[in-house]
Amino acid sequence: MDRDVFLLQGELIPANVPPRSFVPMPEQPLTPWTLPRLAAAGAAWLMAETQPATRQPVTADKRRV
Amino acid sequence: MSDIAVRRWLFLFLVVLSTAGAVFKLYQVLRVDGIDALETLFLILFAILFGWVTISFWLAVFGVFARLTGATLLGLAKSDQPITSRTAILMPVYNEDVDRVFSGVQAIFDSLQGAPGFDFFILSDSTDPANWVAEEVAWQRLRQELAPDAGIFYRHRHRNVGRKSGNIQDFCENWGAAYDYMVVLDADSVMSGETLEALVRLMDANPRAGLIQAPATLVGRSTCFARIQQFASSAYGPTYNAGLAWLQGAEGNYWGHNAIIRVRAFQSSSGLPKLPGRAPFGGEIMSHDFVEAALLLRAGWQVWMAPDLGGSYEEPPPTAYDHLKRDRRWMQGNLQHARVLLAQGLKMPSRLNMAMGIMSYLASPLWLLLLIVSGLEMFLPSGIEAFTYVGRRPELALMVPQAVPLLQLTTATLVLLYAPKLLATMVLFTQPASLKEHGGAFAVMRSVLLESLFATLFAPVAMLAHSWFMLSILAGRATGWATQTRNDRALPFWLVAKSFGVHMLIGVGAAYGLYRFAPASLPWFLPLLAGLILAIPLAEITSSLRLGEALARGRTFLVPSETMSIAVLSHAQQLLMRREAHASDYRHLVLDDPSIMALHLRLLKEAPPLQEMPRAQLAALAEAARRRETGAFTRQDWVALLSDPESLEAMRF
Repeated sequence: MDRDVFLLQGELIPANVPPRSFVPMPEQPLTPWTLPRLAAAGAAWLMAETQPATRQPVTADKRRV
Repeated sequence: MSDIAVRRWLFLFLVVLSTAGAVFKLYQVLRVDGIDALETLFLILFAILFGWVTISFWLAVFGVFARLTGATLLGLAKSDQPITSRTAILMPVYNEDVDRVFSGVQAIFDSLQGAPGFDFFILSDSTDPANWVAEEVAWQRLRQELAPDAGIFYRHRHRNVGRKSGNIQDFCENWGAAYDYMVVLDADSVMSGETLEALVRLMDANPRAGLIQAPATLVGRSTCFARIQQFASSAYGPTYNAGLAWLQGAEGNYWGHNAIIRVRAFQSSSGLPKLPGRAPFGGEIMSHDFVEAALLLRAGWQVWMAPDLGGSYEEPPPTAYDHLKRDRRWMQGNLQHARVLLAQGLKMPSRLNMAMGIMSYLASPLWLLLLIVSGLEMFLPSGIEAFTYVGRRPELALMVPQAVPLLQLTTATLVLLYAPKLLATMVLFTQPASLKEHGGAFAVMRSVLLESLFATLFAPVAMLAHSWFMLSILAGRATGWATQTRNDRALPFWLVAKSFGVHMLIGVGAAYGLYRFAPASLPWFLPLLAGLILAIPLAEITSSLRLGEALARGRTFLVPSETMSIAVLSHAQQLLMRREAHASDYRHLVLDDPSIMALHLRLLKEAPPLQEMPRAQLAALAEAARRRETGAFTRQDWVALLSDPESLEAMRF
């Protein structure tokens, strides 16, 4: 065996890493835009657009008809 | 509309316009005798591939414009304030050449000249027990050589969860809280202290910047193939990078290493999920870098490229064989991005980066398909009538009327393919200092000519290889996590013949088929066929170290790292030469050298591994090791023994 007598000399340096302080790294969602999801999002958007702008529809107030 | 939006819309307009023009021209040619299904397919494939080439062309044009006008490529505030932040320089390693890794780390450490706030982490995922112990010894020796307070740390993971991205995540979770930034390196990366300090200052002055990529220049190899790649990277790279940076702005990309990252941003927004399903398309995300950049951007952080910072280097694969082997892995990683491409909330530049990554590999099978379709067109009976009418007069349907537009299209394609190289060379000629660093005007012209010739011959070889890789990936064959070959090596002939023999046979077969059935078309296919027929000698000759060195003496493919002294690279090389004298079998050294045994045991205590081997089996291994009867030990045996403090402690006495 090619033993190398010079490999390690002197005192060992003890600490190979600093102290640990665990902070978890959360997994991020990578949800693809599948057709059903896109359709659902589209429908939600359309419904949101057709929501009445005023609290009471005009037809609800007979005096205004 | 902002400046960058104008640039992006202009780029899109030019790409679409050029592609549409060429497709229309081809359509005019094809419609003469009506368009059948095969011709429709040909037209579609042509449109996709021409569009792809057009993107590269306009990117180079934008790069030239940015370079010549001195456009601002990095829109970040600068700071000269003293550095108070803390940065961890991470060197993830996986069964790499230990001497090379530690020479690089020491060179970077020395280059920083004691600048405050930098710590180094060698994050080992090595599974080879000889590498593992060698890393421990190399780390200890380095620590003993440097000042007692030098922040150079070593950590070995016993389970490689998540591969490289998991390795980085493990750092972030355990030590990330103590650092503002991390600089991720590759095992063959070297960065100068000056560049590292500049990156930290940029991050300090720009709190919204999540990541700054310092594009790495290829350096350090001497085979002919590697020197060609190094020249191309050095001569053309700056122009491409300028074009890219000018178009991307704060919505850039991450190339996996040689980049500084804000730890807080990365930790909170870039944790990678496992994709549903099995490899190759499901499971762990292999090419993590693009996805991590996309996640940073999605979370509102900026991702920049700093093309003019310099001082950022990596090594190319030494041979065509190694280059293609790496491509196999990269291709799988890029194709996997198809599963991420349409993820909700990603920004359009991120989607484009992934799409372009996919297309860079998809282009090869599409090109092959285009050639097959055009071949079928030649052999199938033609629908062309014996004559056509021009006005009221019938004319013979010779090829002449179609030859002109076809020649125009071919010329346009050739211009688009080669013009980027010429444009980048033109930029080089406007920079006298850089021109001199590449060997001067004549050397550059000769090198560009030879590099273009090589690229032309190698392109069909890569096309066939990529097409085969694509088929194997689609068939569900996943590639493993292999260590890259980073040393110069001349390829053994049997390996070249085995790997490139099929290319040659296909080339010879196609040439014979054309000669036999369509001799008039043969000249058009000659450059392509020549590459395939010459695949074996091309791969064999370009792997030659002697040829690479002879070309360097002949002032061909010269790059600045060869014509001038770059301190950090020269220092890394000197350190490597000094270290290589100490090569030993490190597994046995644990058994034979009490100081190495003590070191190994001490490091095991820091992170005790889970032992899976039954105690009785371990005891038998320990007994055999005590008698030095380790000849029949497998890698798993060594790992189990070296991971068991109890057995090792028992052997000490």
